[in-house]
Amino acid sequence: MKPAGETLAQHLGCFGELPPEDRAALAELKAEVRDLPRQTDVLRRGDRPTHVVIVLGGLLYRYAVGPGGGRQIHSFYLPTEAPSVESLHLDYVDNHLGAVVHSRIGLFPHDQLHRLIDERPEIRRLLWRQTLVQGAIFREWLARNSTMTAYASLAHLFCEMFTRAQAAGLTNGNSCALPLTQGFVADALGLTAVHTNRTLQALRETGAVEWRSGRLTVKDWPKLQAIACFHPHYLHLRSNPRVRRKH
Amino acid sequence: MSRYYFNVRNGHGFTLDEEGLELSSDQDARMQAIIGARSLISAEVLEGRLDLRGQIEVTDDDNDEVLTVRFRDAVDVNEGKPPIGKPPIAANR
Repeated sequence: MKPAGETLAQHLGCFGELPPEDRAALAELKAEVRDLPRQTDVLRRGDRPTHVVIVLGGLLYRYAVGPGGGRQIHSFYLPTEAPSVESLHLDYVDNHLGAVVHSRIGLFPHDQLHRLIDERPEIRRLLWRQTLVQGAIFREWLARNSTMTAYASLAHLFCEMFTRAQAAGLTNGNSCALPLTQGFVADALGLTAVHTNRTLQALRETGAVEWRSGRLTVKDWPKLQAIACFHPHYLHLRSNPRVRRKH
Repeated sequence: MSRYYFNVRNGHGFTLDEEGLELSSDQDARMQAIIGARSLISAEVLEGRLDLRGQIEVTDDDNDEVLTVRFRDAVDVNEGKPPIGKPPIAANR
């Protein structure tokens, strides 16, 4: 496994150009590496974090629990992604962050990152950009859940996770690991588990996608993208061929 | 805890649940089936269709049938003339 600092440099590099000296400075960051058993939390609402989390293996998720006990998942986080950079500037956490499956995380002390931010404007710019993209993803999920059918929503989630896996270098041909259960997908899309299962079956029948035993395989990307009305612009990835820098 | 599978039989045919849910009792499984049936019915209603002939067939790890919830038993259905007077108070469910 790559050192955590190099992984962070790789992740920030998805959003913009990182000068070699900044990349080297990030690579020198020391992180505490920790294993997180499945369905345990690393951050709970109200916590006052002193570290920024990076995913080194497995899959994390950010979620809220409603007054009736219902769970809304706000996002999933693949290896290389950094779910809690905003904790550098916010006093406490307003959601829970946990592991979907047994995961490995790195913890960067805030003071180390603050020092880099003060000394290196490109790192500051990319960390800011990374947290803004998080916001864009939350907005897309809200719009997806409130405007799309279950069928299109599920296709949209698959399109997004595959695109992010691609950016993180985690795809193998047309497939990537997506070790979710239907219960997690249901709580991300605001559906019941039964409805999710029925919807998955309907999507499978199109021949566009297969999701089985924790692995997502995209068999027909244009078809899946059309079903989902998916456009990756909101991910603001450098690798995104559709991003036109007109503005 | 035991694993329950929620197989759906409705206008779209039969959908096998290959994954199932870990639940503490048959009663919990019945509640999940009712909630699931209601969610399927409501999605269809939004598309302008109401077909109450479906059912959810709950099975266990041995593929034995535990219970079945018919869609028509998952909702109160009232047909006929509009109610007279004040609207009825919605059942608390």
